[in-house]
Amino acid sequence: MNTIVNAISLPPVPPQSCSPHGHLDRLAAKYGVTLQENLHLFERCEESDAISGAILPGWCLCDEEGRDLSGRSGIPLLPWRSERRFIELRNLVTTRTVETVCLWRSRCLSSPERWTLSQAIYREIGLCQWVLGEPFVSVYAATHTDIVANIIGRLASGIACGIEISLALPADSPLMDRHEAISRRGVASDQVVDSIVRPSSVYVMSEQGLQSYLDTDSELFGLGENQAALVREAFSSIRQPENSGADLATHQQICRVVAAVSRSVKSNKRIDLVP
Amino acid sequence: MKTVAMKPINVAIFSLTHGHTRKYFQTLKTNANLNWVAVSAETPAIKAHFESQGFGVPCYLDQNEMLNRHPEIDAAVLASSNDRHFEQMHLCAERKVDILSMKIPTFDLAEYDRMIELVDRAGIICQVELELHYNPVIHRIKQVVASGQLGPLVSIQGTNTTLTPVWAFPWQGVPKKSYGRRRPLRKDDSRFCGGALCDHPHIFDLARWLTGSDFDSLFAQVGPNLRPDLIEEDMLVINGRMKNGVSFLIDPSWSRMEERLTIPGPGWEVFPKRMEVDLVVSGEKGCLAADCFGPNVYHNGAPNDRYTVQYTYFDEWIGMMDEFTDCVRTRRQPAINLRWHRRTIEVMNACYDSIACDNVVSVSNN
Repeated sequence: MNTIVNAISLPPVPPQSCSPHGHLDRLAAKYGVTLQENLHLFERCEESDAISGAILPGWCLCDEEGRDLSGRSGIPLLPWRSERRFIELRNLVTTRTVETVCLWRSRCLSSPERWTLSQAIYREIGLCQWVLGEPFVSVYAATHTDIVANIIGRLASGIACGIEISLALPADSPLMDRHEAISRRGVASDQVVDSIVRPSSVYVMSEQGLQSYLDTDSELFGLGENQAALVREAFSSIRQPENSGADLATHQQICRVVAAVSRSVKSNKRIDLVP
Repeated sequence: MKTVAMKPINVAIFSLTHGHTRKYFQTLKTNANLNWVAVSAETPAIKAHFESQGFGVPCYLDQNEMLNRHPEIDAAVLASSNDRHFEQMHLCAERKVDILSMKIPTFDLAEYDRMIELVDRAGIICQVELELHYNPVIHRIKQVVASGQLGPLVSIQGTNTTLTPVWAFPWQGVPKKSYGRRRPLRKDDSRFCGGALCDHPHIFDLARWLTGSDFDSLFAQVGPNLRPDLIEEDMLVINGRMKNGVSFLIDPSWSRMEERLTIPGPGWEVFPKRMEVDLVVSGEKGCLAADCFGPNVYHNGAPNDRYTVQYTYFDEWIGMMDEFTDCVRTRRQPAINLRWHRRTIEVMNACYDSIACDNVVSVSNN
């Protein structure tokens, strides 16, 4: 006969926030996955410069010219594949809820403290290709200093893409982005109609001013939406090492598109890519 | 303290008639701590639908046969209509099977007390499925309130509004199965208890949890039905005071119109968002506003070309099953157990009392 402990458990609030790597450790322990000791998850490249076992967003392994640095610096992750809003956007496309996409529009507003222009381009190119399931076949870009890039591209099936990137936000600003697939049968978007920003899930108005929170993942409570996606992607990568070759190939293909954007800016010409 | 060995917990599901049933399928398949061994289905049609999904889990039309053929069952999810919970708890208690009950064990408080007695006597775990506790936004709300940043609370306003599930889960439209008996809403009304209020205990539970207090008095008002062919209430609001003076206003309506699908799926929504839990918590030093199921992604594509919210997270069941697993293994009672939840059921009954007398009722001494 089992004995019931009389005390009622404490409220089921998860542990307080810790680093993305700490969360990765916790996920691994929970699901019985062994993490190699020489691997460490980083959010940014500067932390990982001297560490060969770094796993980090693929955009950290892309230089100013869009060249691939993964061979000497670490394992690139494609974190949008684990970000829930992008998973659902992709589902809407693959299940043909929106059918025959004609135009992709994305906007990404951030700060230079977060990433460089080529890194932001990497992310927007990569997630566009993943959501729509097609590679870029041409790009033309207009930039201004290292702050702004306005990119037009075409995907293999002919879908036109408009990508707006600005790093003009102040340091520590939250990432503000919007993605939209416009099809012959409806529009799919991660931004609600009649708004120019994505809302948070919690707003607190107190003597400390206005604070907002976007909590989307109970198991990774304490991490922001982008951080949670990074941890999920790292965990997926570690669980399925057999995919690493394909992931690296995808990373290198994205780098080629980013490099083409750079060449387009320098030449003021449209650059064609071989898929 | 005796602990159960760290082997996977063998889990069965009863009935498959509750709207939350399918939420367990993924968790039971992916959580290595759980081993899904059997299900029982109430009708051949439900059995056929379950088997068509290819889970490879044996399905029985007789719940006794399921239990007899699978003596290895450690725990069971009672995914059934409210009027079957007592009978199924009895079967579980006889076999020392731990229980995860749906959100309304029963509205009959005498029966409820017999459930507590059954569980106590058998020495089994019984968790009540209030999955909202494991929502990441609720975690944040609890954290902010507990921090004292808002100061002493003065008010809670909350919605727990959905479409009605009755077309897909017909028992929720049958007073005997939902409320436990045919109790008229009030003398001059042809409707019965058992509708939207019965579907939404979460917001009452949260008011208790967040204020750390208990309901003192309330007034409940029903509106005309949004769906005139339903014989239960679908639109209502409740306000009142907690014992510590906190004022509240709660909307647990089925106020989001739906297509009358028999199997939930794409195109269920007429109103773009099928389910909302929005909370405003005010304190003497500040205020919090939260959307527990947002933001998401949005589309106006197939099947109906209507603007629709596509949810991006629904992982409450992961955390809830984690807690259930831990409770089964360590033999601790869960936070949301039968005794804690009884008061919420009392308060929901008090809402019906208020509707019946069209007046304020005290719930202090119920």
